[in-house]
Amino acid sequence: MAAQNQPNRAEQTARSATSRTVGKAIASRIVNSAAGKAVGSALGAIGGTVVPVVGNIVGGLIGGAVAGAVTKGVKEAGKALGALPFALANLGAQLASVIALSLTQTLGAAFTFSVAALAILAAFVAFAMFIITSGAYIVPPSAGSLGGGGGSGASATTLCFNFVNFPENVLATEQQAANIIGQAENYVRTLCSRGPITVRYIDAPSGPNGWCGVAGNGITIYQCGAGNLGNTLYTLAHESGHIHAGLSNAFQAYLQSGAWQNEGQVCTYPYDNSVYESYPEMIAVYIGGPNPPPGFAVGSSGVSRLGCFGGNFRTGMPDTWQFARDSIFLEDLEW
Amino acid sequence: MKAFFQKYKIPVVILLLVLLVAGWLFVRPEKQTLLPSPTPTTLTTLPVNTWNGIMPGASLFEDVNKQLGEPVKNDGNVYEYKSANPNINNKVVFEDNVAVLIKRITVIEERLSINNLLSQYGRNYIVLYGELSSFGDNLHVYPDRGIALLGNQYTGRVLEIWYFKPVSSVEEFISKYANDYSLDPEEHGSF
Repeated sequence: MAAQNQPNRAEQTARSATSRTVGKAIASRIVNSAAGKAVGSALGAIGGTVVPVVGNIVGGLIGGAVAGAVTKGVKEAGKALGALPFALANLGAQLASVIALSLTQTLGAAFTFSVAALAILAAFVAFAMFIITSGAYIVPPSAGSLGGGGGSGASATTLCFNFVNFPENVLATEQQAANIIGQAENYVRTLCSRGPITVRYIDAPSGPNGWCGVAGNGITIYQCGAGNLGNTLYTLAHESGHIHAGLSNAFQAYLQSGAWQNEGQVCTYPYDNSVYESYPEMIAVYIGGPNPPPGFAVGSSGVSRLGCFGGNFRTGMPDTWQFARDSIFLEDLEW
Repeated sequence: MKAFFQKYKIPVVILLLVLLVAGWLFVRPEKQTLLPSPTPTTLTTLPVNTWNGIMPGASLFEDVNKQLGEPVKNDGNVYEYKSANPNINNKVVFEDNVAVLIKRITVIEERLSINNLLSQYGRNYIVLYGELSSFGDNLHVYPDRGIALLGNQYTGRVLEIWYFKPVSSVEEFISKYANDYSLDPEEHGSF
């Protein structure tokens, strides 16, 4: 049925020529009167060939509509079908080309040029939007950059930790600790998923009530949370655990877990323990592993609190260790 | 004119169809994102501060025990009842034998989304900060409706739902029901 309605080449040429002739004839009669302009506009809206200006404007509008439709259609399909937008963009462009060809024969070159240009533009925009919405562009990772801003101390960025106001020697140890944490790739992926975390140093022996680290809107480290690598790692890993809890539903899973039910809170936490402190403490001792650097979870008394496990974390609190392994880290670390 | 349309009826019809389709694509409503709907609970019943047949300000101690079972623990006028979480109990505060505050512990299996609930109850809530604020879990309070949600808008989780006898201001809410919370996020951190 479709073939019967398809004009042959000669007919197409004749129709095209007729279209232009009729348009020009009408235009010449009516273009100089106000009423004529109105009528011309109406006819132009239908045929797009009455006068070049009107034709171009209407062509632009129609082309814009087609372009918008193609853009929107391709964008929607892209969202739904992932990789298929490339194919759909191609299909959309072809469809636009077919429409443009048909309109070429009927409505003239100026209009057709507008449609074709806008169709190409639409395909390009659709492709660009796919790239943007799928996040398929590359952002260079930041790692190990050093800077001097942020107060009297030095600053640096390791992983997503933005260290601010640290003395140089303390900063070097913090970065070393951050790199150890960085071995827990799955953990860090979630930890850094919301962007940089500011880690600020306050040059005081300790915070309120003797705290060595505070997590809230970022992390604050006091003197007693720094020093040797073990102590620095323990404090930074624990405080990062607070941030992680806010980014992962593993925290709620821990609150209702059999691990907590069976084994209670992680015993190495030095202050008033609670389930809310137990979660970051679990993270710290998992990262520390069975042989953490000297100074890890050692208080002012000089005695390691890891002794409360009666062995190590894995053997002393197996359910809690397993929870950390399966719900947070998703891997054994190379301790 | 008639002859013109007769001669060019096919292109005109195609053009009109294209315009029709393009117009429809522009005006049709955006596709809605389907979010997991919460399991049916008494949240959808009215008034919103009623839970499990218990209405703060009206339900007596006996009514609460009938609905929640015998309390497993108490400290003064605060009574604890078993919740869906084996590790944390629901808490009910009584005044003169009448329940005035219920803290219900929610669990993952309920599939509650704080963002959905906040949309449902309206955006006129007040945020209070407390012990869990360093985890991103703040208390979203509707003082005059008698309901508050402890949860994290980033992850969407809901940890607790509080039902209470409505009060006239957030200050009154803090003084009566939430002494450990404040309007200032800087007052809270975890260590």
